Amino acid sequence: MRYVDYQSCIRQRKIDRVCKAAVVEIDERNGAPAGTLTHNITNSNMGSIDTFNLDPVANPVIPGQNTYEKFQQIHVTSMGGSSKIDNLKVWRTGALGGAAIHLTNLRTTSYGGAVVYAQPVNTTSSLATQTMPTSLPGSSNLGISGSLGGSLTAPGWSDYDVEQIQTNAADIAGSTSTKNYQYDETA
Amino acid sequence: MQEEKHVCGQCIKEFKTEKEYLDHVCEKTGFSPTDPRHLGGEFKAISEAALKRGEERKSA
Repeated sequence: MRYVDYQSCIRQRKIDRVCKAAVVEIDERNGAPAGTLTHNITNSNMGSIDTFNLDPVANPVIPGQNTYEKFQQIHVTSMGGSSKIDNLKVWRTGALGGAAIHLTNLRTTSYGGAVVYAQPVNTTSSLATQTMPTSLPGSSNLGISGSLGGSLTAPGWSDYDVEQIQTNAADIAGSTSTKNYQYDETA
Repeated sequence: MQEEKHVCGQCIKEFKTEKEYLDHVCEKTGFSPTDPRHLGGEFKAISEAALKRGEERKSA
């Protein structure tokens, strides 16, 4: 079916860039290593259990405690007709509830290299120690193969983006914000 | 160490390998994960913007 559709694009001489473009999804790993890798997650809800697409109403964080860590990756499932994916940027827009803080391993300088997956914890993360950016970073803050200057020239994954929200005992309400991902693609 | 499992976040089907995941046709989206249409209508704009940035950097 896909083959037929792509041929149709070419015959019409109206080649939509998406017909040739790379296919990029967000994946999340959960559980004891090696873990379960869930592809193309539909949200990044954080709460009191270690699972993908979690229900934050059913699994809220107790004020003063932390969410379970998230281990997420950008995954290129197909390069399409493109030659390179690089310059990965991840940030959050929107405020958190109360005095909660959102921490990550993402950083634009002094990058710590590729994190090795470990079972997510809700104790204070030793991996997510940097403040999550709340605007578009000026340069890449998520590496490929351990380097912010890395690139994918074939299907594969970025390094892990590890995140945790740490709450304050006075925080009585959750919040909804937006997680943003950006990458550059070279044809 | 436990064996790795793969799950499609859309149809929640489980797979033993990445290849099995990439080869399946998702019951929710109707497309395989290597097809841009698996990612929904918004992906077209995301992809076009990524290509524009990449081409601008290449020619800079």
